[in-house]
Order: sequence, then C-alpha cells, then structure tokens
Amino acid sequence: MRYFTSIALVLLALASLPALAADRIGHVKVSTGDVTIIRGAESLPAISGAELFEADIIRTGDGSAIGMTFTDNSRLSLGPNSELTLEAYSYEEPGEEAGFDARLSAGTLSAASGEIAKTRPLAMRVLMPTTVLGVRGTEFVVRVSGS
Amino acid sequence: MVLGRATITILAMGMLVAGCERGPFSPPEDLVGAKWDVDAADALPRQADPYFSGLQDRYVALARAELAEFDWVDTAYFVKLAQVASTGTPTPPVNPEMRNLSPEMTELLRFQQAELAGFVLSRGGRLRGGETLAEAHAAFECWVQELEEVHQTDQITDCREQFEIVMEVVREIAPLPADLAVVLSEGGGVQIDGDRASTTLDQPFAAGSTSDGRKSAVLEEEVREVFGQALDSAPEPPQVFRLGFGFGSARLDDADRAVIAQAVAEALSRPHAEMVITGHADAPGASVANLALSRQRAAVVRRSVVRALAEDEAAGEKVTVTRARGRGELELLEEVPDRSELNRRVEILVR
Repeated sequence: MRYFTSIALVLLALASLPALAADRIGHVKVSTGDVTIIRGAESLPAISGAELFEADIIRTGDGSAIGMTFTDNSRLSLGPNSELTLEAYSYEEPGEEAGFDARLSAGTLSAASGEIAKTRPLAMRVLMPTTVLGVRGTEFVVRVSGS
Repeated sequence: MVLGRATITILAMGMLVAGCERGPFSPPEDLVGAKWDVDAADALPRQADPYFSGLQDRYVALARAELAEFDWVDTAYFVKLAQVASTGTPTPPVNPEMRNLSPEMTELLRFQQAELAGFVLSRGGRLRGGETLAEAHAAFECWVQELEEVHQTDQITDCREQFEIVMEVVREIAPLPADLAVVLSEGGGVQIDGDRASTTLDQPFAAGSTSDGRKSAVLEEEVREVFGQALDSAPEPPQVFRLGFGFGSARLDDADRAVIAQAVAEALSRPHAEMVITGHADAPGASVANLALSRQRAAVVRRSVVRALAEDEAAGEKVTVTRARGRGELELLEEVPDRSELNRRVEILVR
C-alpha cells in the first residue's frame, strides 16, 4: 500500500511538473535588427515566432525593434536600444486573478493592454527606474531616457 | 486718430530736433504709412495660438517704446515683426551675424539664437512654450536691437536679463519630457506613481513626465518621431470570429464554415498567428452539461480549423492553434438575454 502511495505521489509530482515549469506567456510576432531574449544564463535571438516566458529580458540594439503578443491579448513592442524585463505574469482565464509587471529599463515601449488590465486597477504595470506606471487601458507609449 | 497722434509726434519731433539734418531722429517722409503705424499693427487680428498672439503684443509694445524715442527705424522694425506674428508665420529669431556686432557678442548670440530657434521653429516647442516662449523671443529681438545702439546700455541689460530669466523657464517647459508617457486611446489611460509625483493621464494624447509627474502637451508628429519604430512593430489587435449554434447542438452549418474560412485567412495574413478557440453555451440546462457542450463545440470548430489550415502548405509553420477550450455558461454575452442563440457560440480569436 505504501509502495502504491509512493508511486501515486511520484506520478502526482510528474503530472504537476508542466504546471510548475514556466508556461509560455506570449511570443514574438515581429523582430527587426538585433534583438535578444535573455533567459537565465542564455541569450537567444528573438526571432519571429519565438516563445516568451516570465522573467525573460528583451533587448534591442541600434535601429532594432520587436513586437510581442501575450496570452491575455496584451501587446507590447519596443523601439531601438530598449530593455524590457517580463518580471511577473499570471493569467489563466478571463475574469480570474491576474497580473503583469513589465520593467522598462531603457528605450521606448508601445503597449496595448489586454485582459489582465481589465481584472482590477493596476493589475498591469510598467515599472521604470523612478516610477510605476499603472495601466488602466488601453494604448500608450513610454520612453525611459538614458541616464 | 492715428494720424492725429502722428501729427503730434511730428510737432514734438520738430521742436526737439529743430535745426538738425535728416538723421536717425528725423521724422520719415511718409508718416501715414503702415510701416510706422503701431496702432494699425496692434489692431491686426491675433492668432489663437498664445505664442503668436503673445509675440504680437510684445512687438507692438517694443514698437511703441521705439516710437516714444523717435527711433523710426526700430519702430518700423518691430511693426514689421508684429505684422508677421499676426499672420501666424513662425519666424526664427534674428540672426546675429546679420547685425553689426563685435565678434564676441555675435558668438554668444549665435548660441542663444540657435537654442531659441529650436523651440520657435518646432510646432511642439511653440505649443508647450506658449506665451513664455513669446516673451523670450521678443526679449531676444529687443536685446539684439538695442545692442546695435550701444548708447542704450540700461535697455540692453534689461532685455538681456529678461531673456535669460525667461529662457530658464522655456528650457523647463518647451522640450518634450525625457521620461515620457503618452496615452494613445480611450479606455482609462495610465496612472503615474513616483517618488516625486503622481498623475493620471486619461485622454488620448494626454502626456506627462514619468520622472516628476508633470503634464505636458505633445503632438501626434512628435509621438511618431519618438516612438515610430516601436509603433511600427506593434502587433495588430486581435480579431474575434464568432460562430453560432442551434440549441443543444455542436453541428456546423455553411455560415459557420464561411466564418472559419475567414478566420483562417486572417490567421494566414499575420506573422506567426495564434488561433485561440473557445466554446460557450447559453444559460438554460445543467452547468456540467453546458460545459461539456461548449467543449464539444470548440473541438468541432478546432477540427475544422486544423483541416482548413492543412490545405495551406505554409500554415503549419506559421499558425498555432491552441487547445480548444470550453467555458460553458461562464462567459455569457452581457448584452443579450440568457436564453439567446448568441450565447451558443464558439469564438475564434486570431492574434
């Protein structure tokens, strides 16, 4: 009986693994020039169609730009010499508890909020070096100047 | 009235400069000409734009001051500038190199002129600078004008000081904020919360500084200039295609197939499109049954979508079809009664 319980626990753990591992939160739609996704120690080219995960850092070089869509239908795009960290993202179904924090450290961001921003005030935020921008909806642009 | 005042001036002039040859203080031959007519320049219509109307006001005042000193050349000069301001034509500040000034002074003024011209010649600079920019511009013209007449040292100092003080303010208000947020649509906007200030921007083209929360005006062309590349890469908004079903049914009809074809065509037109298929049921009946029915509807549509995509060779690479989901009666369309065929639907979201 104990043996079966152990197997059941292992199976349970395995079954829940995909849920524990980071879910894809969005993907790259368009990418021009030199754009990289930094994921942990890895640095990946942000090609069109590439998947995006929580904690990814997206960096664009000179004359480069990227457009991204997310599972809640929000859309973000970056102009040249920009850096955006997808710090926190949670979204399951419309109407459920959700949140999206994106940190713009440099450059230009164009954004259109999706379902997350509709769940409650400030559910979607753009964090900047000295400020937090709470998103009420829907389309806006932000620039963080170089220091 | 104008003629009357001019006549009095002639008489006064005549008494003051009696015996002198025609020189800078002599009355011009044609005193009724618009060239010297300060009142006429004052009576010209003002532009709605505070920069131009403010500039006209100040040039009129400067022309009057010159007139009071019988400086006909300078009166005419400021009347001319007032006339141009009345037409709303942006004009750069006077080029110091065109003036008879010392090389050192020309060098200093060239720097000031270039900075001022940057604001004066840009629509956004004039919009944000407004009357303050007009004040700086007029003070600069006054300064340069007085410099040529080296004997008027108090006025030179006054105009220069005024210019420098007002330019400090212009530098604060006229440029676009370095840390900038601009709202582009209806829908609530954004809320800026920082250490130094908090502001809400809630209208299209409402703009502000994210470092100090100060609101600022911005032009569409400036948004294009600063954010053009980000905006050009912005993905298109998602598009939702809706298919209706009969009561208790998960069967597709010809109309549904046509909608599926449209959705697939839209997906193929987008780079790396995703299709999210969600089934729904109306409110009558058991929730469990409605959930199952909504899943069944979504699955039927998904199969049809996948089949349609299979006919396109490149689609496999380009389009992702997410797992079909059923939401039962959880997401009734608010605007329709519960027992409505509109609720018996599958939505294909293409993004």
